Amino acid sequence: MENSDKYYIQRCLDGHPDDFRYLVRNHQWPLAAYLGGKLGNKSDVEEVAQETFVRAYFSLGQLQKPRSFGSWLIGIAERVAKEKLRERNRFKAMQESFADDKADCSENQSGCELEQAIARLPGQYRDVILLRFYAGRSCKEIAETLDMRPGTVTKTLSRAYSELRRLLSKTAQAQ
Amino acid sequence: MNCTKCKEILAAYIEGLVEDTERVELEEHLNKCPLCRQELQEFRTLHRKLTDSSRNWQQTDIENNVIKRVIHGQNERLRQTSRANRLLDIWRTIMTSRITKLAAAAVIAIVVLFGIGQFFGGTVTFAQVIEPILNARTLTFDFIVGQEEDGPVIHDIVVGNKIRRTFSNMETILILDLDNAKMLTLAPSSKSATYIDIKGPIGEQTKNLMEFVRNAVARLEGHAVEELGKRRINGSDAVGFRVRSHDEDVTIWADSRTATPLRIELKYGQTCYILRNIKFDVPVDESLLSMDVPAGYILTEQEIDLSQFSEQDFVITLRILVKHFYNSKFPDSLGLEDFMNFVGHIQEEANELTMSDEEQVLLGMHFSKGFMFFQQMGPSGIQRRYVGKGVKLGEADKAVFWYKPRGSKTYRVIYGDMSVKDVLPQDLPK
Repeated sequence: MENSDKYYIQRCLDGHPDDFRYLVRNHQWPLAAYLGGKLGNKSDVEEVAQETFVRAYFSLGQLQKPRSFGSWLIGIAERVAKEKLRERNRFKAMQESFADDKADCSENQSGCELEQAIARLPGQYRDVILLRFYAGRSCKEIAETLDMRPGTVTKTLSRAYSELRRLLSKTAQAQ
Repeated sequence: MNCTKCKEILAAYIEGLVEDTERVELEEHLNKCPLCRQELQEFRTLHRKLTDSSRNWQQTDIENNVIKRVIHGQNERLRQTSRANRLLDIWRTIMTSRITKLAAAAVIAIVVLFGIGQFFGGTVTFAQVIEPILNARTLTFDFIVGQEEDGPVIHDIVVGNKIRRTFSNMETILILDLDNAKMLTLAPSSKSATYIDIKGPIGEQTKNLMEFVRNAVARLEGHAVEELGKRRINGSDAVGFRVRSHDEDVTIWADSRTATPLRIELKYGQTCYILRNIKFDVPVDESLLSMDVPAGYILTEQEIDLSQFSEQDFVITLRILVKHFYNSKFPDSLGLEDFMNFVGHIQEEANELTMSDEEQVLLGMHFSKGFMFFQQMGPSGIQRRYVGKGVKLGEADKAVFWYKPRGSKTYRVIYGDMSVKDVLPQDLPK
């Protein structure tokens, strides 16, 4: 998988913008899920995801490790999402409820808590969850992508579950 | 197996990735430990929820939109880069040439001033037939260079020796004070105003508008007037007259009842002009012809020295014109008519290239000098010929233009690579 990322990144850099679609295809769902946790409503997620990919495309030359394209993308997405939230804050009257890192889950209350929790996971836990479920990769593929031993991937996954459970129960208590 | 170890491998267990011996140990522990059993239960629930949630997001399809935007953005960047390169190239060409202080907006001034000289040569014919133009206090008309009725239109308001001139293909407004050889140009969108002192031979020529008319009348005296009969023009019955001298061919259509001119078609050398919607002594808001800078405009002063122009100016102008505005292919023709079309075009291009006002002025000034060199040959009786049709920039063996300097025995021939050579009459390109 990571080889294909690397290959397509090089193709894009060589002036084949259409090949960027393979990178989008590989990363759009994990990115959308991550943004779902940040932003909640689907139309914003799509808008921010698009913008993220477009910015990523034009910054590809700055990407140092092609194998970490996914986390790099999330870094860009985080900035774009922040801009989106700020914009939302400016235009919506109920500003307080949309403070920077909180999500607007009004449209999709129950489906969104999970993504919110994912968005709050430490980076490595988050990446493993996104790859496993949202990019539909096997633990073996994740191990290759993240350059880990397979055992480490499953351990990380276990810890990520624990942490997710903790975050979710915290949210449940808060409500 | 203890609880810590158990929790670590629960995810692997759910995925079915635990080896047999370890799985047996794990299941033994789970049988004994209710807390770990509960943990497993909760992890399984999470696993299921995550799988369900991922299906939600898999409906998101942003691929095509992203690709569209990426390709659009890429093209836009390429366009900007090529724009920047083109711009750089234009300046490189100009800067390596001998440029003294070039005057503002002269590109327009050339059209204006040569236009006047020739046009009033023509109206005069008219004045032989009917006289209102000599006595009219105000005059307004539309003026087309060329024979295309739908070509760029210049609208003139004339009061005494002042003219306000607007153009259908650019926003610039010119106000000319011919007595004082001064011009005010106004650019409404940028609110910038420029005063131009018109010096040199053109300044002399344009000094007095009415003098022009009278001189031209005198020149045409004695030529036969041909009657063309009647036709309808703008709903009025008109009678036509035609007067031909050696280099002027003037047709005037005048109202058959009032004898005031409605339309003038003028051929002067190779260039045609159409004057239409002519109106005499209509009320004019004279503040429109004021040489004062309107409120809110920023003024810059420039002096045009129109006495200084050379073949080199023309060569450089032609190169920029062909390379940057005609895709390196010489245009089919080159005359005042083409130039009129080109003036509008160059302003559009300059905007497209996002040239600064200053750069636009510089380019305009440069062009006007080059064009002046070309245009002054006609009235000065210098033989010239444009033969650039079909020639590509860089073709050293193909001539694009030749002329015979006054008093010279040889011709100057400009080739497709912009080199210039002296050529004997018998060796002129066919």
